[in-house]
Amino acid sequence: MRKTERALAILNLAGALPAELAEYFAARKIPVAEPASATGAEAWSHILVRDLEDYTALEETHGLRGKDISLVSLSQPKDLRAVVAHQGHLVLDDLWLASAFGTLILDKFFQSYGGIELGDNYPAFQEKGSFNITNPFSVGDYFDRVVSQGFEEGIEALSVKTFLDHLVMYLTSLRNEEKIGMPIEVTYGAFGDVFGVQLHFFAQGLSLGDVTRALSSAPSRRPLEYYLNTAVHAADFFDFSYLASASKVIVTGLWTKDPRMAFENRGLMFSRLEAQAKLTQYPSLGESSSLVSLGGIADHSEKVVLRGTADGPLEKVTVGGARGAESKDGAITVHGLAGSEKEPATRVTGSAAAEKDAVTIVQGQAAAERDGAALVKGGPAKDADAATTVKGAGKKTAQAGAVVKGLFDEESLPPELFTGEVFPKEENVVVAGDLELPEAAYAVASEEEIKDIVTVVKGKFEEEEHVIRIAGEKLDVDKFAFRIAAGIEQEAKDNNLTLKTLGQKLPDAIKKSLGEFATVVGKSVDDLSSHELDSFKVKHLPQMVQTVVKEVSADGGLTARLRIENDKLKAQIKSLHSELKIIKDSRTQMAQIQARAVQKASEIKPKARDAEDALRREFQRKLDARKVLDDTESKKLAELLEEEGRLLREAREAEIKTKRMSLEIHQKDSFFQQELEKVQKQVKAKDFMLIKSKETFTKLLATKDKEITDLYQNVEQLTKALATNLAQLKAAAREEKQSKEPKGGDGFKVRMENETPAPNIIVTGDQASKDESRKLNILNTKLQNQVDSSKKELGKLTERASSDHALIMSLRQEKAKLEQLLKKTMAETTKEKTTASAPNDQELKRLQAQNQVLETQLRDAGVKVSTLESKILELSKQQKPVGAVDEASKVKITHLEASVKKLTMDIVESRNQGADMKKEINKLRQEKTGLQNQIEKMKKDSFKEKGAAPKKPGGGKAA
Amino acid sequence: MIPIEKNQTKVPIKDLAKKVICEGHLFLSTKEGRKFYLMKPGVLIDPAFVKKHAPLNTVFEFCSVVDPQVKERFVTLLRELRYLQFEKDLQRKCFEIVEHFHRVYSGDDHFLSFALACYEELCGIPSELQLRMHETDMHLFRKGIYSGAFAVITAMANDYYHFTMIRDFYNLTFALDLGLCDANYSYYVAQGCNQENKFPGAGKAWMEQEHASENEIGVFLRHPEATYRLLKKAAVLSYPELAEIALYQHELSGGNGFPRGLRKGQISSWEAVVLFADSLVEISDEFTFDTRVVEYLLNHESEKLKELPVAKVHRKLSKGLRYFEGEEETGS
Repeated sequence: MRKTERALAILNLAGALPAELAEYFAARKIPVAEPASATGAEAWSHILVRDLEDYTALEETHGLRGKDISLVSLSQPKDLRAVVAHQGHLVLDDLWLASAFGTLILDKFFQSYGGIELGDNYPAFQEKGSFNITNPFSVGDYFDRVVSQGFEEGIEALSVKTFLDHLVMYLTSLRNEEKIGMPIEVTYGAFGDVFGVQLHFFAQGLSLGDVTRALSSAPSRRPLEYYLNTAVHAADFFDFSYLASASKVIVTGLWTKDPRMAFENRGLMFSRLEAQAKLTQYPSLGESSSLVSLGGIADHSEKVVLRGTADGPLEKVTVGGARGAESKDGAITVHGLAGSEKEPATRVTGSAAAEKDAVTIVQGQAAAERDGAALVKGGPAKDADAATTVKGAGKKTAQAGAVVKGLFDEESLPPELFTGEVFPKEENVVVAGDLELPEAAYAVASEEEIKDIVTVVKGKFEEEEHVIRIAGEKLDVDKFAFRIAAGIEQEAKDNNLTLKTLGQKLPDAIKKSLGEFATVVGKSVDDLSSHELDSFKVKHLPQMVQTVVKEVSADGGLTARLRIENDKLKAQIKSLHSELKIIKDSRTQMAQIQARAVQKASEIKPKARDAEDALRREFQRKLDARKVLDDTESKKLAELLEEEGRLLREAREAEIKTKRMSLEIHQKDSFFQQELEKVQKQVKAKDFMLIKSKETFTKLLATKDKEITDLYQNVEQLTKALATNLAQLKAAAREEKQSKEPKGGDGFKVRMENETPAPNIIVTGDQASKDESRKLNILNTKLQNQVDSSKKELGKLTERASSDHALIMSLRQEKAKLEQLLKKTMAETTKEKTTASAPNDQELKRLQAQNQVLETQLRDAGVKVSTLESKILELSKQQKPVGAVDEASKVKITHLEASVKKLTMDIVESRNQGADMKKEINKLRQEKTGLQNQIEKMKKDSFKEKGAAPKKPGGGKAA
Repeated sequence: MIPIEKNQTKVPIKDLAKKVICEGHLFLSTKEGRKFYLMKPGVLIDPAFVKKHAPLNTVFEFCSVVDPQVKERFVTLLRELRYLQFEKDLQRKCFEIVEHFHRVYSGDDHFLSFALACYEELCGIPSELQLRMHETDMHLFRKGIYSGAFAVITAMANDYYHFTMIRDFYNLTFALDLGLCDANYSYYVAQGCNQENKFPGAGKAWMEQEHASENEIGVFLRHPEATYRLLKKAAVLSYPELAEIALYQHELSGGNGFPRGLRKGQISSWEAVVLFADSLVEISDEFTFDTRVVEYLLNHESEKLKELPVAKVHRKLSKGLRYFEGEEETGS
């Protein structure tokens, strides 16, 4: 497929263009129109935008989706998917434009050139290596090589690994959906400050939409989106090109050494390489890598650089055991180690930590909240066998203070340090030696605390003025140094930071150690001289620190576990608290409800009852006093009793009512349940019926379909049969014609010419005649066989006819007998019942007529059989011996064929007649049985009538 | 190389019938002592041939060109490769095969030993299709045997180490001329294919110059798609997407090829492996590959490869082969 040239027409909606971009367009002579100058009739190929969030206006004005317009965003979009969904095919920041590679990207994008090799896509790229992925789960070695090459090129190669890992898994998923094919060819190389990795593969079923749909600016938990997004965001520039003509996709990831670009800027390009504009052509300098590079991979773990999160100002933090590794602007470098060389002093993060000396990175406040963050509380250590140094921001290299945790007991330190809470900035004092501290320096402890804790430590000064050092025995060894750079007041420095007091907040370990030291010296702590204090600090304190460090490092796992448990318990306590609160609330509510109920109950109490109670009490009192009740009192008592009885009745009735009600409710409930069950069953039954009916209908449909197909087949067969019959008829007609013609060689020749369909076949000589005679012989034998079989069939038919004849004869005889019987009975019954004979006569007449018809039919059939027999005899007479076959025999064979056909027709006819006769016979039999039954009935009737007739007087014999 | 006249043995038809491919030169002697050359190495011993000679119990004169030890060694190596799993092991095994190949074919051992080992271990083309190729032109089958073997070694030298992928490359290269198996196949079609391998457009031009019929030109121009369809239908490939390579067999640089007219930079290495291997062998009875195969491969970077997309693949192959040459030099 040849590429077509494409005219570029660019509309600038991004405002003022960057100088580099304007220069680029000018140099390439690409016209860029401003919105003011646009007439609205232009067919834009590209539209430049910047900081655009709402695309509806653009969509309405230019109708992006329906047209072949590409959107170019000159700034990082907030919603990546929205940009790509609106034909956003290039996202390129100004920083990219400023670099030399920017021109290459622009050229590739605007020219739509590309190819499956790295040099085709980005000319002048120097290929460093290549490999093929056939099994995506066996690529570790290859990826290691690419990452190693990335490190050698000086880029942050961990991103390359992330890119490859995630992209290949994404592609594997697409492969399982049969959207792409294997193998995946990977090429990697470098050009100046840019390192590139390119993958290309078959993509028969993949569309650009499949990829763009999975893009999002926010991290997603959907695997397909997660893998693609991670890969896209891992690259400094992500290029997805679809080579339509070859059904291939080329994915390229680019990384730069420029830290600004890596942190602040990413680029994205989606292109469909179909059209091509002729702008610039670069000579490709790419060269293939060696296939036999089986050498080991260099260890670049010291170059591992972990980037910060996107939140807040990012400071570059370099981790490494390499001494004197220079950090860049804003970077924090932690040198040296606490404790022994091999053992980690603090928790280690990052992949390189496993192999290298333990180093802890603290990065920003956000990092301080993480598990791996190590805070140093500038507390004095009792023992200082191994000293640790925290290099602060006192130097001009602007190294901000980093902090190491783990030297002190948890109890002796404020709990905030272990809970990960960050101090409020107002209260914080930066651990740094310089008075002019950068803002990004890390706050560790409050100033007062520093005064109380840090200033008590007297250290040996090194060359740095503003750094206090508590050094161990090996003062000159950096790795055993523990520097604390803190904002210590100038006074303390002037006083050489002498240990003056133990202070209230001095850690117990140091206090205890100092106390022990004082007892050994034989003095109280306050009486210790500065010389003795120096010796304590120089000899005892580092040892103490070391032992504490060891203990802490040994208990590191335990403390971590305890911390986790602590967190869990805290969470549990929180939940318990909330539960308790809920319970308390509910209890108070309950109590309130109860109180309200009591109050209401007291309010409900009827007043009439009070009078009745008083009366009852009075009567009781009188009865107790054995007083006699007067009439009115007795009346009142009676009334009271009546009232009580009434109340009791009412109560009983109410009880009964409630019982009834409850029973009714129960019954109704059960009834409803039953009804519900019934309904459910009915629904199920209906469903079942529906399913069944569906099945039956499907079966019915299938059978109908089958029937239809059968009918179709039948029709086809019939049409075929018709065609063959027609052909036969034609042949017969031709035969008749030929039979009329005089028999001779010429006539035969003419017929042969008419009949032979292939004029190309020319058969001459003896061989041809022999073949012909052989064929005729075969045909003759076939026909003879047919005649024989037809004879046999005829024989069978004649036998059947004779048997049928015999049957008819026997039936006739029986009929005659029955007629005689009938006559007799008729004679007997005519005297008494003259009316009954009329239908029998009619029936008999009908039967006789039928018999006559049958007889005539049988006669006809016999005649036909006889004619057939005569014909067969004639044919058999006409046939000659097989051996002598000549040309005349062919004619005879055709005659024979025709006669055989006639015979078969006759046989079919006679068969049909036989079948009809059989049917008639069956009918006759049925009629015969019917007649017999009628006769028997009549006989019985006559006998009955005879029996019922009055006996003659004096007639008959005496019993 | 073993001279044909010497080391001739008598082989009865029943022994010859056991083999699928003729492993040497086959002669038939008359009663008068005259010899007729019946078969070349690499030709299929088809059932019709066996059926014809079996009732007669014919005894042939046979001069084998296959070294059984070399063949068995390659068979073993390929079997070992089949059962390896990890990339490093696969890579190592492939290099072992390339090294052994270099060692064996720097001399004058016949290439058929390796080709037969590949055929035994890798061929998955259905026998009816093989027979179809043989019946169309016995040189089509013979070419497939050799070009398939070249594809194996080229793939291994081009970073393809997985057995299934290599097997697919073999079968693809072997069956690349299946599309030619047509009723209108002729000498012109075969020569058209050979000419087209030299430079794009040469095949059709040559056929037209030679006054080939329209049907013949049609067969030639349609055969990539025909092969693609047959391969898809036969389902012989573990990676079905690779069947697409069949469409690329005459897609050379500059967009002058057919059927798609792809331009330079659109053909991947996996396609180039097959195309290169295919271009190494012509449809003819001229080639024998009995002397210095490595030398042949190294010197194959001739004029015709310069502008072809297979050049990179060839560079990698020669680099791989020269690597072992270097080792030998330093070793000695």
